[in-house]
Amino acid sequence: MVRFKHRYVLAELIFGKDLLIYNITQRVVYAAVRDIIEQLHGRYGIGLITPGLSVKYINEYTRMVMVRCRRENLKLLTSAIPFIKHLPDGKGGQLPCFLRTLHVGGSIRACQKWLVQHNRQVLPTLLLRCTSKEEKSRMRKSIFNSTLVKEEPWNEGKDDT
Amino acid sequence: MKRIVSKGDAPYYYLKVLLEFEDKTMAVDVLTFRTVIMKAMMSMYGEVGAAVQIDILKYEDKTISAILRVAGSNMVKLWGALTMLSYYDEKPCAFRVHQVSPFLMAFAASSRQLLLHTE
Amino acid sequence: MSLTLKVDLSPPRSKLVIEKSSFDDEKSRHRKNVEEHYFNHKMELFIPGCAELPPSAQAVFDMSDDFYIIKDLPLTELINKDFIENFVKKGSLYMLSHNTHIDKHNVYAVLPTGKLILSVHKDTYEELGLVGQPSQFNRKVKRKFVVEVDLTQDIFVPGKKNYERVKKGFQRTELKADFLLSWKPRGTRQSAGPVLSHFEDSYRCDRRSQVQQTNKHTELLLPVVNSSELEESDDGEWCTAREWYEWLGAVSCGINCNEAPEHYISRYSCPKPNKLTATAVRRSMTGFIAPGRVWAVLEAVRSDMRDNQCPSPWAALTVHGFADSPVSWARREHGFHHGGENLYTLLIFRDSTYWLFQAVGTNDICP
Repeated sequence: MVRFKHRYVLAELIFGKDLLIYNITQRVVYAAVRDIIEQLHGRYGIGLITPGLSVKYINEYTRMVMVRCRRENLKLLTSAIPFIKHLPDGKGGQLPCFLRTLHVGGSIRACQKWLVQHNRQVLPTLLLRCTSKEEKSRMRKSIFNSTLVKEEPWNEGKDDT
Repeated sequence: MKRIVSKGDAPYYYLKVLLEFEDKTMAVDVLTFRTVIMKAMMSMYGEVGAAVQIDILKYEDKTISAILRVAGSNMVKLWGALTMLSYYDEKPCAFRVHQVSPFLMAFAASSRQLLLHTE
Repeated sequence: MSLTLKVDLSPPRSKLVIEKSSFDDEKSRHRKNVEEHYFNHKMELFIPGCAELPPSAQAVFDMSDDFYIIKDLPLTELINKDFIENFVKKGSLYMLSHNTHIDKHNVYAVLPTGKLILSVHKDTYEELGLVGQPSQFNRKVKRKFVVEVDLTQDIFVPGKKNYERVKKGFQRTELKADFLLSWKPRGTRQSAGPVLSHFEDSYRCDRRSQVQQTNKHTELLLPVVNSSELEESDDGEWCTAREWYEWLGAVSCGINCNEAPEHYISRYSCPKPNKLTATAVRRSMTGFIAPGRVWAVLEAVRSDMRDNQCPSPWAALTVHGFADSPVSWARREHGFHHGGENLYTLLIFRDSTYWLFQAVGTNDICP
């Protein structure tokens, strides 16, 4: 079968204050990626990256984004992503922020699988941050649930928050 | 007797170019000329392209022509960027690439310019 | 939908052959190299350390050696019986079509070996009806074909089948071109006059002489080279052959490389280590130059160096070929792709060793 081969880049948005929830949409990330490519690689870069570029998934709570690009241009994308320094916050201002690339996968499914695994690993660090007892017990329960139950990965990923 | 054969990509490429402005009276000094090239690279290949080392080996400000030297791997980029340039400072202009060669020596003669006419 | 996103940013291929040998070596190819590079457009002699050319080299440059240009000459004239008998067979005839670009037009050449080479388009080739080979450089899309006709063959005479076929082909296609011509009669010290009178009656002919130019350099930095070593030395005692070649190119193009301007403009400067020389002379000759002339210059320079006529450590002789000639060396096919360079430089040292640089572009066979 002949098809376009893609690569999915899973990245984490890192803001200064990491516990707030920002209203970042797929459109905003898409524009940011395009802008940085234009700045670094000019019109030539835009021409290369535009076909196939899209932001497939964004999670405001875990602050994960998944960006898709053509396989040939993966390097172009991954080398440009670290240069993003701001994202517009929707109110006309700029939010200082950067993207940390965590994983590159060949399909959305593979990335989701990896994301679930990753989220499980991150849970214990969240436990350490809990201040009250009630929070801690809820956290423990949540960790317990996520590690035991083997359900549809997609739903599970959302429950993690 | 010893023989070294280097095939394939040459370390440097040389381009003989001429910058033409619509306004023929434009005076361009070598710094401006370098900036025009850099701007052309900037718009086509972004900051990465603008960072490419380009040497102006020879510059004639009367004709606004120059001999450029660029690393072999960036030659196609430079040529492309020069071709796509159409404005500098909102003045229409264009680059003419006269000769391209991996050997600087080749610019010392150009047999295509040898035009002989019988009366 | 087919979208190829792969953009090929690699530059066109080129070839540079650097050879180190000695004139005294029996296997040395320098003579063959000079004589088989048939069509020379420019010859340049560079001697550092002298304010004037040494006497015998000067004499060779001053010698008059004209070439001719013949307008709108039909190819049928080239297979004319009288022409073949009187000129092709009785000397070295160099003919090359003028103002024809090998990547756009048909190009014709007569080699001193008596071969007529036609580099023609597919349409012309099919109309011509002669046997040839597709050009080496675009094998997939057969755009150009190379046809070779041996004019000196005994059976290539009117009445024979092959001759008539060639003649018919030329008549049918009515191929013609402006030709550059140079002829050296064999043996005798006869001038090339007869060849002109042969064509003069029916075609417009013109006699031309080479354009000579002398440049003098003062206070020039010379890179230090070691005649026995082409490669870089461990502790940087001399320059590599490639660096030297680039430097000579810079000198020939009139680039001042004594001091580098600021880095924003250029980072090129004379390769290190280098030595200051007070004077240097560069003499060039442009036109249509027969290899015999190049050979004479080479011999003169060598004898001058032997006789210690000039205090220079070395001398460099550069010869540029025609970008649109169908052959580079001997019968090696030549083409034009981005550039049609086919040139060589001989770096002659005092101890009769020499370096030979042969540079060709993409559409060329490695010399």
